[in-house]
Amino acid sequence: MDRGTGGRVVSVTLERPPPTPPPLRARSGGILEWITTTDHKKIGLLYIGTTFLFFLAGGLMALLMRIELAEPGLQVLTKNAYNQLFTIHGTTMVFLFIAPMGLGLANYFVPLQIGAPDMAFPRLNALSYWLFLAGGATILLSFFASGGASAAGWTAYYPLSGPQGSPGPGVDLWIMGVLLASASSVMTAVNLMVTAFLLRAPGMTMWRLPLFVWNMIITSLMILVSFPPITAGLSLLFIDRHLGGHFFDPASGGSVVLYQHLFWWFGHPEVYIMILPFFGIVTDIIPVFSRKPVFGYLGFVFASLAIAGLSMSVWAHHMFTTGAVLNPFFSMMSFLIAVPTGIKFFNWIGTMWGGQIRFDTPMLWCLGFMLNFLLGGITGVMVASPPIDFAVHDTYFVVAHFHYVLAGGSLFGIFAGLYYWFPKMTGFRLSERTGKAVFVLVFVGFNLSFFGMHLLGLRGMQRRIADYPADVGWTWLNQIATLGTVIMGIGVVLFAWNVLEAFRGRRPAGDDPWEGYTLEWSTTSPPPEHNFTWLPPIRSERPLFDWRQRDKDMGAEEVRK
Amino acid sequence: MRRWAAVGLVGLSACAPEGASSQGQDISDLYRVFVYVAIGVGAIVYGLILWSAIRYRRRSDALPKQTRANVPLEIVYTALPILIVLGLFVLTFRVERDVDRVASEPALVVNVSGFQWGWRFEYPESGISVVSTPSEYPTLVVPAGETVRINLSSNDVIHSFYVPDFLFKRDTVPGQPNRFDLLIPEPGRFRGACAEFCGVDHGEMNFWVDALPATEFDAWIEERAGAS
Amino acid sequence: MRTATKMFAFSAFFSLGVGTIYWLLSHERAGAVLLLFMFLAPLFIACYLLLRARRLRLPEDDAEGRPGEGAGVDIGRFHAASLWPFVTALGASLAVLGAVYGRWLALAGGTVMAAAVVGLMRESRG
Repeated sequence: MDRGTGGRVVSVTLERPPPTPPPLRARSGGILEWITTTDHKKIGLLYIGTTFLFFLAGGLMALLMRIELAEPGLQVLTKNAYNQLFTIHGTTMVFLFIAPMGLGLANYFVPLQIGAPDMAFPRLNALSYWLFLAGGATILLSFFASGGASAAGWTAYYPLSGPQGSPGPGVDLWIMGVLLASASSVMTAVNLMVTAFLLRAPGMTMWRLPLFVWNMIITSLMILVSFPPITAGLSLLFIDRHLGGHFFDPASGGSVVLYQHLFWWFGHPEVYIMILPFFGIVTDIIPVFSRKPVFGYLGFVFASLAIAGLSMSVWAHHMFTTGAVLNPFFSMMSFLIAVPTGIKFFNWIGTMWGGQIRFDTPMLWCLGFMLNFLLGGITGVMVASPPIDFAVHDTYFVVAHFHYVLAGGSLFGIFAGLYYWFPKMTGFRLSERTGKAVFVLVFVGFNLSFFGMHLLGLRGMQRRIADYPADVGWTWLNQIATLGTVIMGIGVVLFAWNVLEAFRGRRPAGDDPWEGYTLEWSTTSPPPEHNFTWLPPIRSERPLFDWRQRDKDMGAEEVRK
Repeated sequence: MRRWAAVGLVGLSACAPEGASSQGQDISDLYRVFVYVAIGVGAIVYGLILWSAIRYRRRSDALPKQTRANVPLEIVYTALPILIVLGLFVLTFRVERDVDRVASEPALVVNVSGFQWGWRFEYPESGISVVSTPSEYPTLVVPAGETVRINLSSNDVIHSFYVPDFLFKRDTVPGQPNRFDLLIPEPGRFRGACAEFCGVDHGEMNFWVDALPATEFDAWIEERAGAS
Repeated sequence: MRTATKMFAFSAFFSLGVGTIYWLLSHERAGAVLLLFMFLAPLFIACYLLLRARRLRLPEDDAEGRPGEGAGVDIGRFHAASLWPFVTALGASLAVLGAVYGRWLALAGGTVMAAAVVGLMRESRG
């Protein structure tokens, strides 16, 4: 019976690489090869490329909003269009860019870093990607639905997202898109966890795992416990909207606050789901460029675990002003979460301390990451105090805070990872000079965009308004922010050029351009199918470093034969 | 860079409006403490990052000392932040208790309800009602120097009663009434807005708060109660 | 697998502790129920691992393990290529769009998805 391209099976054993005959390729190359692929590297590339396109879309929305806000009055957008834009901007960046970019990079590099031939469930992996793509397309294409996209904010608070508040199909499409994307995330989380637990190379004990892998395990744990409630919450929302439910409708005994509990139960861990992968990447990069081991490996892992635990008990700090939650409890928990985050800063500083730091582009992005994220962390401690939150909640102060965390932090971590691993993924070298220019543009643009927003918030500019009065003194700060966003946009365009130029220039990168520590640098660039033909012995969290410093008697061991 | 960060943070503290209500003053004082702590912690950590980045930039190919951990140091940088946040929590807890305290006998009760897209201020004792009109933002008139109870409610979506000068906001949640007390020591006129996104004209849901001296407030009540 | 077991057990008992404190302080039901389930779910996995791991010895966890060890152990079949995940996702997205735009679409999507799942299963067997 002909099962098409689906019927081919390769039996992979712990012997690496897989036995002959070599894995079969899909019958025809080109697009069918990508549609049917179950190779974790191809799926990883699909993820990274797709999420980057979503990032460009979300960035374009941000640019439109900033242009609108440059002057008081409405110039380029209607209020309704503005509301749709910030709703979908937030949704895109959270659900379709930052979190899945972390999962995409993990897809590519977790198997490589642990010396595995692929993810544990390759076909589930492919399914995750296609569900994610479907979810993303549903959300972005909802702009063309009748009545436009959802304009209820990325949090979709009931009753504004209810049948009276938002009658059109925009919110329904938003719900369905988010449901697809979250189903995809759960599958990837299971996949990553099983991979990291069961497909490690011999000798790669849990306490020798690269910290990116550890953080992906912990991220997966958070995904597993935080996504089901949002799936339930959004399903209940859909039932309330169309099937006559009254879960959240106070007129019939429902509770408006219940929706917020369900949403933020997911929403706060999601913040850490969006930052832990990049903590991991940064913690893999800094030691390599400092020529030192990471300082305080165990402390770092325990700090990540503490963040995961605490992140599940701080959700209602988004609800301080509702008057319906126990503020001191959530305030205390939110304060405590600053401690493990602070530990990470000291891990990074301790790693750099006394090192020989080489400032190539990946390290520059890490430095920018630390500088930006620190400010986001400090303002995070401020907003964890309910009285201060009463003042700045839902103002631009909070907008500045979470952009320092998610753009200044995660986005810079993403760039660090892309610059670090681009040679491994493509085999080509990026231009260092262009890369440094991209860094300067994005760093300056980012800080111009968002630093002034702290002041705007303190002066009382609330979030989610398309227009503001001319006589309250907000105009100049808004203009600086718009200028910063334009500079950042130029930086992102230059990054695209940087990548395209590398493909055209075809400068070979070599297997190990950075003198890396982890196993992905022991294979070719790009790695072959099923990843490895050879592995060094694994005796610490930096097997390649040990291998370069090896004693004479500790010979290489051919995996094959 | 370090100095600039400090200057920036001092700037932040300067930009925190002095609370115009007594509750707002408490919050303003708390905010200032947080900013000072932030400047201290920020200066140390920014200083360490930049110092190690500059001091330890690569100068040779020699392999540096491969330090992996330093347990006493790690205990210190875990314990110190815990002490700092515990201190901040105690301050927070006390200020929040004061801000949220409601008097048993307020001088005036005003029922505030938000709707898409405006406000209704009702004075149950005198039967006065002030409502947004398409052309004009409504004004909440209260006596200065006396405790005013605000009861919040909404019948459509969630709004939030926000007056930047009071450094305070509280949501109007359908099905879940909220209340808080307000004491404005000095007469003045303050801008208010809706802080919880509530639909198309969310940004137009502004209002004014007029705190009048007691005699003027009584006159206003008489005039409005007589008119209605 | 000991580390994994400990990790799940840690998150289970952490939530149990937090959940108990939260319930005693707030008597708020939504959060307490969520925390209860965050106790039960990792506990379930931890118990399963505890039962399984006793019999499981992985060369991965051997600190002296060499790359060649464990060669020849069958760890499962890896499919080089499969069209079915794509078709499954296509069916699933049609099905959820059907919830918005009409039952006929949901029916079509459900059919596609069911066919794809059957395809996936047959592929696994063959």
